[in-house]
Amino acid sequence: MQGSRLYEGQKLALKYFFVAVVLFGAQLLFGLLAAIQFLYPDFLFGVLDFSINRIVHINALVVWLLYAMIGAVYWLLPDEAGIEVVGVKLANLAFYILTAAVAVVVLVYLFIQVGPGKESTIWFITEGREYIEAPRWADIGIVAVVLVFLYNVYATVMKGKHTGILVVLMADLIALAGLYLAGMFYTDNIAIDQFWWWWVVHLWVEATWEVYVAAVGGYILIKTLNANRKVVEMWLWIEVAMMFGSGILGLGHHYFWIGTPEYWWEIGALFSALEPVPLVGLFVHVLYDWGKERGKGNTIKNVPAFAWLTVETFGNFLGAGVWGFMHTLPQINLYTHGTQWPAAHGHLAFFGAYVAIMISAIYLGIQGKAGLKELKMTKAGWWAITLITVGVLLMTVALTISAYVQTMVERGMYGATWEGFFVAQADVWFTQGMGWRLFSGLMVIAGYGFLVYDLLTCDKKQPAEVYEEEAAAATA
Amino acid sequence: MEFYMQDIPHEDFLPIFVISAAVIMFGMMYAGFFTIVKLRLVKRYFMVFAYLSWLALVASIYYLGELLRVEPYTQKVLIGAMFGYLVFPHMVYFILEKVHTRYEHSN
Repeated sequence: MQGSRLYEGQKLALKYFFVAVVLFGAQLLFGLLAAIQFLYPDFLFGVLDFSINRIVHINALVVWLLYAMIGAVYWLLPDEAGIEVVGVKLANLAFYILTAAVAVVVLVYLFIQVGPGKESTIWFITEGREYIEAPRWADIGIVAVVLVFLYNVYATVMKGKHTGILVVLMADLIALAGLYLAGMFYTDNIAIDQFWWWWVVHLWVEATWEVYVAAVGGYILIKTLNANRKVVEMWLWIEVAMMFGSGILGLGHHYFWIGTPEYWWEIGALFSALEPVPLVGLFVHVLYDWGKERGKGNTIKNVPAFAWLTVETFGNFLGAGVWGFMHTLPQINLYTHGTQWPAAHGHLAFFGAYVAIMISAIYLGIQGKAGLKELKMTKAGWWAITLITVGVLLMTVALTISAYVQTMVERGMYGATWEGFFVAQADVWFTQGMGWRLFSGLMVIAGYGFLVYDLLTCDKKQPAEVYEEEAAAATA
Repeated sequence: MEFYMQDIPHEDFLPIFVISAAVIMFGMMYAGFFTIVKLRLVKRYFMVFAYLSWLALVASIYYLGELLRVEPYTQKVLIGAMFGYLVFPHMVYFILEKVHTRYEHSN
């Protein structure tokens, strides 16, 4: 399938992927600046403070993942439904409006940075809520764009085929979009504000995004391994039940110390302990499909996409499962929250659960755009996956060492005092951990360079038989 | 609630982090060994490692409960949950296999 033979919806998906990759670069750049500031606090002080770099680093992550998620849906939607995306012109318009709005918001973050403690700041500069700092005008714009997106998905599925993957996505996207509304109103009481804010952050990343990943992961398994659709879809329903079953009340582990009643300790502990179970199930499922198809002698149709999907399976398990469980139960979380533990967990969990699978989806787009029957891994592709994965793992270990120092010194020995905070910050093990985090960040950025190069060139560096197969298919 | 949240001495922090990680790792090893043996990707005697992993998981959960000073009732619930987890990969694999057999030639 050449580029001209793609569905219009898939061409739109490629635009979303392009912006996603650019924003991924922005996320890494501003993360690097923030990592330098941990070691050299004077660096860019007064020009681009740590607080601003952190905002751009985190929001770029969320926004690029959303771009890639929307792109992946536009990619698979016409393929699964068997028809063009309904309302694709409107979808294109929404893409340009969203991209212009994102550009304006980023410029405001960088050049205006902060405003007075007035309603106007919430409307035009920032709402000040971590991860979703976008000002209210942008919030409303995002809602409008998402409504267009939902219209495209629902109208297309209604008109075309109703596959299990699409039906799960339809239900999930409604929940995903609806939850955003919980972060759009403001209260003067910070405990109440945080209570609702977690509805967006937690119920996105530990419920609706996980279900989204399961659906898109199922599609990638079908495309790369030729996995049995019935098995994939049956598993998808089980996973939806398990993820919502454990993930929704897993919300409790964010309610331990923000002024909510103490019964959240037990709810949070129980459902947090259950949250790794779907991840084990996902691991078994990918292993099962790989084992079954390997037995039939099938080749992998898109090696980079499958390699990144494998990284997703293990990274999700390690980052969300192992690093999450290590510090989440309330008895130990009393000593770990507010240290670098959540940062260690967050970096590996976001990378494992979402970044890896979105890169996998982008490689599917590259293969489809070039019209290749198979996509093999290039040297640049291997460098990219190796440097990024090893870099993030090293970063996680480095942050964990720093976090351990904080837990022991600041919380355990000094009892969470102001003095304890500074003693822990000055500890040589803490600063060395931060140094290794900076080094690992540079590794990830080098890997990103290889990734961009590979995405731009890998379709031209494939073995001859891949093109020949395509030529034969085209003339058949 | 007082029983639920006792102070933890800081010398117990490291064992808690390590054992928490072990809980998840042994859980994955049990499910992983079980699946690859069932798929005949390795010899059948590897199933021993699956059940050894499960036993290690139970021991880890028990020790974690001790370190976190959980109340005796919760300790019993945790061990009960481990028997549920013993069944979990069997159940998942059974369903996957049945669906696969049923739709083997559907694609």
